Amino acid sequence: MKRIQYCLLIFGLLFGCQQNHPENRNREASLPASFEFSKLGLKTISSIINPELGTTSTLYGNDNALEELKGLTSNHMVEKTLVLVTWKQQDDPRWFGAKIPSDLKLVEVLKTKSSFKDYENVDYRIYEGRTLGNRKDNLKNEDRIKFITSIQPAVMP
Amino acid sequence: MKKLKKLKISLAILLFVFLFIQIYRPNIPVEHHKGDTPILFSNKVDAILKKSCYDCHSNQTDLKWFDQITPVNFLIADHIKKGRSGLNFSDWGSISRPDQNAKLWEAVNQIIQGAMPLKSYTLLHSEAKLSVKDIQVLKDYLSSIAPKQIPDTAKVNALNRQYKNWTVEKPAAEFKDLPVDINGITFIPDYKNWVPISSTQREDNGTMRIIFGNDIAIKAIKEHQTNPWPNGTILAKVAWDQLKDNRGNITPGVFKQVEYMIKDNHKYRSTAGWGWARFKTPKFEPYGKTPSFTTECINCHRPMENNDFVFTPPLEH
Ligand code: HEC
Ligand code: HEC
Repeated sequence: MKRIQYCLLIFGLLFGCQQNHPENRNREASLPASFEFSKLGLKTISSIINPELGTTSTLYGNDNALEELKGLTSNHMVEKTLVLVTWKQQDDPRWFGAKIPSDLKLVEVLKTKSSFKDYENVDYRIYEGRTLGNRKDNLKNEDRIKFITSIQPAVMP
Repeated sequence: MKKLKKLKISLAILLFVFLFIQIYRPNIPVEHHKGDTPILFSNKVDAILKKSCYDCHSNQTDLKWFDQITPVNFLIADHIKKGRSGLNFSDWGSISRPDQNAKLWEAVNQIIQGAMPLKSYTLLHSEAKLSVKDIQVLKDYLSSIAPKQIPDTAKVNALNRQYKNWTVEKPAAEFKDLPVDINGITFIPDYKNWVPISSTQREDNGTMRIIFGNDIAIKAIKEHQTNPWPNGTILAKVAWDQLKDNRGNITPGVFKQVEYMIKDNHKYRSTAGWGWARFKTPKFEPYGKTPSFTTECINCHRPMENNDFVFTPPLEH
């Protein structure tokens, strides 16, 4: 009986501590593990905010894609990947005056084996919603390809 | 009977000691203004700050009789000394405009998070507590002074110059001597290859930021161990100017700085368990003239005390 009481006490203490300091995490903005983003091994290229839509996006890419966006080399025959992740913005509850990502909205993936300027040969995919349910978009994606590939890399010395 | 006598003597001694120590008083320099003091912000905003903050954050401290009793007055004197050193509205004119704005946003945010005025003070000075209406007045004032983003060719030109240098320059990783700050923290060029854990748009100072985490940080997020963060965690925050383009989008302008928080609860015990460092401009100029510049970082991050001093809720990729 005593032992059970002790166990309860210890559990209570542990639980109590956890309640005092809950985990720090932005759940609604996280990408589902099933998307396996980290396996792509991409670098961060830039960030872009659309105040009208209230969205914030981050552009990622592999080294070859970053090189092309920087206008450094025009090495054509290598694989290039760009990923633009877009979130809804929310007011930062911890800092009046800041906005941070909230719900994950969509992920756009661009792949090419030549240049992104060769729009015809860019593979464009869009994944929407919190679970990023797959949807291939064949309609009017040239505008999006043009827009995404026109983003200038942010200076990160 | 004997017991009662002992008690009486003890009380008498205590009273004597209490009266005796009243001789010892801290020196709290106070300025009294004749006539009106100049308005710093607006009538309403000034009135709120005077009522709630001026006792500790100006030279016009107005102490109540119970604040002047030893030993309470020593506690108050310590609060006033620390309070004035971080924020003093009597010296407002002597700091630069951007610093004034940053301090005011910080002040209002400390109020919103319930960190200021100090709880120990409002216990006896209930008139210093801010009402919901007071806080709204302060928020509205801040919104009215927040910089408005408009397309700006000067900013574009500044970015173009920096961008050109950056794309032809040697990468920082090839620097022979990486800059070291006054506390011995070395600039970490690898931050840009880490995984971003969040991004922020700051309307208070017209910047935008990406926050990166090193491998240990990313593992901690995956394992739900972010409060506290494990030793070895490094968080890096990069800040750029905001640039508004013709399509209305906001993109990064010139690179301004990288800041680091390096977790080591032994080595950095005296600074809330984190090493704090800031490197400015693409030359990575170390910030901070004296080792204690970190007080500034910690004081602004203090409302996040129960969150391991971290503002950012990290998202998982
Ligand atoms: C009883 C004294 C007291 C009062 C009243 C008080 N403060 Fe403070 N304040 C302090 C002390 C002491 C510190 C130093 C940090 C600490 O010890 O928590 C501080 C720190 C701060 C800081 C951080 C300054 C820095 O170093 O960058 C801000 C901002 C601030 N106070 C704002 C306010 C505002 C706004 C009010 C009024 C609503 C207020 N304080 C009322 C005592 C006070
Ligand atoms: C005026 C308040 C203020 C001061 C002073 C300040 N910070 Fe912060 N810091 C913030 C806020 C707010 C965030 C949340 C991200 C954002 O909105 O930019 C933050 C975020 C950070 C982060 C990302 C991790 C986190 O906590 O979210 C780092 C790293 C950081 N600050 C380092 C520093 C260092 C180093 C200093 C001192 C040289 C410093 N900060 C001073 C307000 C401040």
